[in-house]
Formats: sequence, C-alpha cells, structure tokens
Amino acid sequence: MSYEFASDAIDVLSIAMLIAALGIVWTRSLGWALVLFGTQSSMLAGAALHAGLATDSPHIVAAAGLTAMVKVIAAPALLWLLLQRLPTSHDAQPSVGQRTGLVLAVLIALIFARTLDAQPFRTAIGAERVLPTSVTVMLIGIQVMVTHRQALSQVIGFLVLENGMALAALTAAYGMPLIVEFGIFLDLLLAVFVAFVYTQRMHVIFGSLDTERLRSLRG
Amino acid sequence: MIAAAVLCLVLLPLAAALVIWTLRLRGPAGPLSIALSGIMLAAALATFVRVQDRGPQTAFGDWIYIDSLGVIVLTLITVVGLCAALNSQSYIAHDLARGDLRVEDEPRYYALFLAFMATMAAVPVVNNLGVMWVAIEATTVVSVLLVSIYRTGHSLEAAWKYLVLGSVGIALALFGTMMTYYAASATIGESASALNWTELRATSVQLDPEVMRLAFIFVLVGYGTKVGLAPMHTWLPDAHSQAPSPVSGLLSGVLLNCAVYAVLRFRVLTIDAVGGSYADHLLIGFGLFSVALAVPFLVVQHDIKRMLGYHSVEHMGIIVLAVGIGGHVALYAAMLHLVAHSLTKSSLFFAAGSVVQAFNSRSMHRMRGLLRVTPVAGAGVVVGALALAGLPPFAMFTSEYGLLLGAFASGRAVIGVVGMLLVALAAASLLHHTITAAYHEPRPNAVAHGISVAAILSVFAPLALLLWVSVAPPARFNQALDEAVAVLEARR
Repeated sequence: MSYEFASDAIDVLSIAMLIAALGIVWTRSLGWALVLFGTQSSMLAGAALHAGLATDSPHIVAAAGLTAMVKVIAAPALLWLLLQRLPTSHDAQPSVGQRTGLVLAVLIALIFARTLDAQPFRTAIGAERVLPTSVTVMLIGIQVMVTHRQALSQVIGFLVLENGMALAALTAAYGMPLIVEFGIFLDLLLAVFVAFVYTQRMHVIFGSLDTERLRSLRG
Repeated sequence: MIAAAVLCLVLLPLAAALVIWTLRLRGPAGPLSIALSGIMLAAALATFVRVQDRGPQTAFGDWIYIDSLGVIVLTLITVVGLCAALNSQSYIAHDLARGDLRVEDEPRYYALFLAFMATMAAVPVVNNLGVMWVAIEATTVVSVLLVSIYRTGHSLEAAWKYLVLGSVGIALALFGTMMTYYAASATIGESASALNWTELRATSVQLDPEVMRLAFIFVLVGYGTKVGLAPMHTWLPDAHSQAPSPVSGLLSGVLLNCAVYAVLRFRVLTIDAVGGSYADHLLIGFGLFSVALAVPFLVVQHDIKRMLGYHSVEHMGIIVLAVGIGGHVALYAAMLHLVAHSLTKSSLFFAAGSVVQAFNSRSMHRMRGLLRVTPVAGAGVVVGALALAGLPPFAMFTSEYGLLLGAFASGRAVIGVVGMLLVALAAASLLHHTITAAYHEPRPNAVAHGISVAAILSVFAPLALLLWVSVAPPARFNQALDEAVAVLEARR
C-alpha cells in the first residue's frame, strides 16, 4: 500500500472520528452514544490498519486487531448489556443543552486545528493532520465527561478520550511496543469492567445513575 | 538472585491473591498476607543491599532494571506493606464483628491487598516506561476496588471519583509516554527497547526537545493526578478517607511515591533534552500550588482521615517543590522527605484507624481525651503528628530545612520562603487539632480501648524507623539517598 493512499485514508478516518465524537456530544440517547462510540472505534482500527500496512509494522496491525476486539466489541457490548439490565433511564442527562455542547465542541476543534498546526511530528506516512484531530477528540471526550451527570455517559466520554489518544499513538507515533499495547488494552478492559460493577452498585444504592447524588463528600 | 527477588515481589503475591480469591480462603488469608509481606520485605532488603554494593541490577533480559532510586521506593513499599498487613488483622476482624464488612469480603480484601502490593512493587523495578505505565494503571484498578470494599454510598462515591479522575490522568500520562516513544524511536530506533530507561537515559540528550516539552506536560498532569497535585487532587481526600485504614496507609504512604517516581524519571529525560528551567518551573508551580491549596482545607478539617489526606496533598507538594528547586541539596531533601512522609503518614493512618474504631467517629471533635480513651493508638497519633509537623528531631525538619537551603542556593529564595511559610501554617493547624483532641477531658461515659500487639507494632515500627534515620542514620541509608540523588541529577 502506498504512503499517499494510507495518509489520505488516515486523514479521512480521523475526521470521521471527530464527527462521531461530535455526534456523541449531540445525542441524548445512551444507546446511540454507544453505537457512535463503536463506529468511532472501528474507524480507529481502520486507521491503525492502514498505518500498519503502509509502514510494514506487524505490531500496529496487531494493535488494530486488539482495538477491534476491545473497543469495537467488548467494551460497547459490556455497556450495552448494562443498559439492558438496569431499568434506568436511557437519557444521557447532559447538564448543558445540545446546542451549547455542540458549539463548545466545535470551538475546541477550531482552536486546536489552529494552535497545533506547527506540530512537531514528522511521520513516514505524513499524516500531519492527525495530531490536532486526535487532541481535539481527546478534549471532546473530557467535555463529555464533565458535562454529563449520567455515570454511563462519563464512561463513554473516557473511552472517547482513549480513542483520541490511540489515534495519535497508532498513526503518528508508530504505536507502542506490542507488549505495552497489550497491557494497555488489558488495563482498559479492567477499568471498564470496574465501572460496569460500580454502575450496577450505584443503581442498587441510589436507584439511579445520576452522579449528582455522588456529592456528599465535601471540604 | 535479582530474578528470584522480583518473582517474590511481584508474581508470588499475585499468585497468592488469585488463590485466596478463587478458593475464598477466610481463616488463613490474614496470616498468609503477613507471611507474603514479610517475604516481600526480605526480597526488597536483599535487593537494596545488592544494588548498593554492586550498582544497578538487571534481570530477565533487560525487562527488569533496579537502580538506587527504584530500590528506595521499593523498600518503602514493602516496609509499609508489612505494617499494613499486621494492622489489617485486628482492623478487619473488628469490622467483620461489627457487620460493616460481610464474611465474603474478608478473602476479597486480602486478595486485593496482595494484588495491590504486587502491582506497586512492579512499578520501581521495570525498565520499560510503557510497562511502568501498565503497572501504575493496574494499581489504580486494584486499589479502587479496595476503596469501595464497604458497600456504602460514600465509599462508592469516593471510588467512582478515584476511578474516573485516575483513568483520565493515567490516559494523559500514556499520551506523554507515547510521545516519548516517538522521540526515542528517532534516535534509538523503533523497538520495544526504545522505552527502556537504560536506553533512554543513554541517549536522552538527543531526544527532540519540542516533542519532549509536550510529552512532559502530559506526563506531569497525568501522573500528577495520581500524585495528588492540585488542582487534580480532588479525588485524594475522598479515596484516602473512605478506604479501610490499613489501605489508606498504603495509598498515602507508598502509592503516591510510585507516581512521584514516574514523574521523576520523565523529569530527568526532559531536562536532558530541553534544558534546565522548563521542567523545573512546572514542578515548582504545581508543588507550590498544592501546598497553598491544602492549607485552608487543613485548617477547617475535622474528619481525621480527610485531614491526613489533605496533608498528603501538602507533602507531595513539598516533594515536587523541592525537586523543582533542584540542585544536590534540594534533591536530597526531596528524597529524605519522601522517605519520612511514607513512614509518618502510614503510621498515622494505622493509628487513626484504631482511634476511629474506638470512638466510632472520624470527627476530631468527638475524639476528646484521645490519650486516655485510646492511650496506645492516641500516643501514636500524637507522636506521628509531631513528626508530620516537621518538629525536630524528626527527619521532616531536616528535609524542609534542606528545601529552604536549596532554594537560597539556587537563587529561588522567595519561592522557598513562601513555601515554608505555608508549610508552617499547615503544621500549626495539625498541632492545634491534635492537641485539642489529646488534652480535652474525655466524655464521662468513655471507656478505655486497647489495641492488639500486631497493631501496636504497625503504628510504632515505622515511627521507630523514622527516628532511627532521623537521629542516627546508618551509613547505608545516607549512601542510598546520595545515590538516588545522583540518578536524579540531569546532564544539563
């Protein structure tokens, strides 16, 4: 596969990931947020696959496979299962309005598209636009965590943050050594599993997943 | 020999944790945790002597690398770990008897305890900074489950905050690690060893300064969240106060060190690549801000465990501030402070745990007549508070004085003086709270509480060690600190 083709494909996929992140900010339905997250992860796996094939790096191809297994299948499936099991509202409960949230996210995107223009990465495949996009996706993930009171939305926000980071890691910085990559996915899966357990417990104790109720420890 | 020690430090406790968890061992779990913590301590001490006599050690190819900086962190983990295991016995038995914990929580607690110890012990012994990240993230996942072992709303809240903030922080640290790998693959080449400390350090001067600047910001904010640096500290007082007290001692006493250790490694690389002041200014800023932010919370705090949590924010701030000031004296002060804080804070949490159980309250207003109602644990709290306030002869007096000297020597006198004024305020409020609790008349219906021999040992052994290294430090101790400072000294 030629470098130019891979570079173009990664650029297109990274912009698509950004759009999926904006969709997660926009939607009020947790089900849709999960679908969008799964789609975003598959774009990430696709971008990693292109980078891996273009640079002949088997460990990046392997990381793309791990992404597909953990972020496209395992994590969304676990959260979907939770959504079905708990008789809870499927409303994402954003604490800012849809339009405000979206404007905020677009502002983040515009600011970082400009300021990180002179980014220091010089990669073989020349996907220069990836770093601003991935930092933007990371920040939108943090935005989702901050502006949503629903515990599951916060988990999804964290996973979006992870995706943004992995995008830069896999395409611009040649990925990480495979053993480290493996550890990262194991830890991520464990963290999502702990969140899975906690949200269930939260539902038992408080009768909802609204993190507004987690505000008694102060000062 | 190092290979065997590492197996005892990491794999053995993990295997034991798995056995306890799957077989739901109840009775033998407690004694087993003491035995394994003892083995870990022995392995760490053997490693300590080996590293001091023969220099940095490697094992398993180049996956394991232990130098004089790592060995200090490692030894502290195992010393505090053994004390925490001793303290756990009566603490857990008390909570089981009261029904705060259920019977099936006992094997769960000890299994997680051992797994927590193993993941922490892995941090200072691995060579690869990526693997170190994996180990630090694993400490979060395991310790979060320990924080939430009481199934109350409060502990769930603390654990959720810890999990969410900890995960975000650690994700940012991973981004920084990834950038370091990118910078290194340009000089070392693209291989797993490009993240090895040994290789990075050898070529650190050639790392791309622009990339390393960006990497250090992410690493500092990321691991800084785990260190409890303000303004990312908000999870810390919650998690440290809601965890069972032996675990609070571990979280505050040694887990924070693991995160500081990670920051220290990246600091050296960044200074080598970028030059002096960039990393140091950031460290001074975060350090000073942490100390300043902790003070008002310390003055109004009445929950003894939350108060100790805020003191951790303060003391981590002091350590980071001293590292930022730099130079041999301040770096030595930082290492001494790290050791002193581990020993003091863990002992205080263990003592506070007994006191809280005796008064059945965390509020210091209710702990009237501390020294009469709980004479032994109360004495532990009072002595610990004197040590934490930095009064002579305890080591924190020396280290804080060292920070001030270092600040004057490097022309940062104002920073040093402001820092020490804030520290003095924090110390005054700590002494005020402690003295009020200790010397008030006890409530008329109060009955005296004793504590078990193992718990006494867990409170006073760290204090005795602290006194030893403060008043008459053995030659090996001074040498260890000197060599650790040598690791920290950058090439530029």
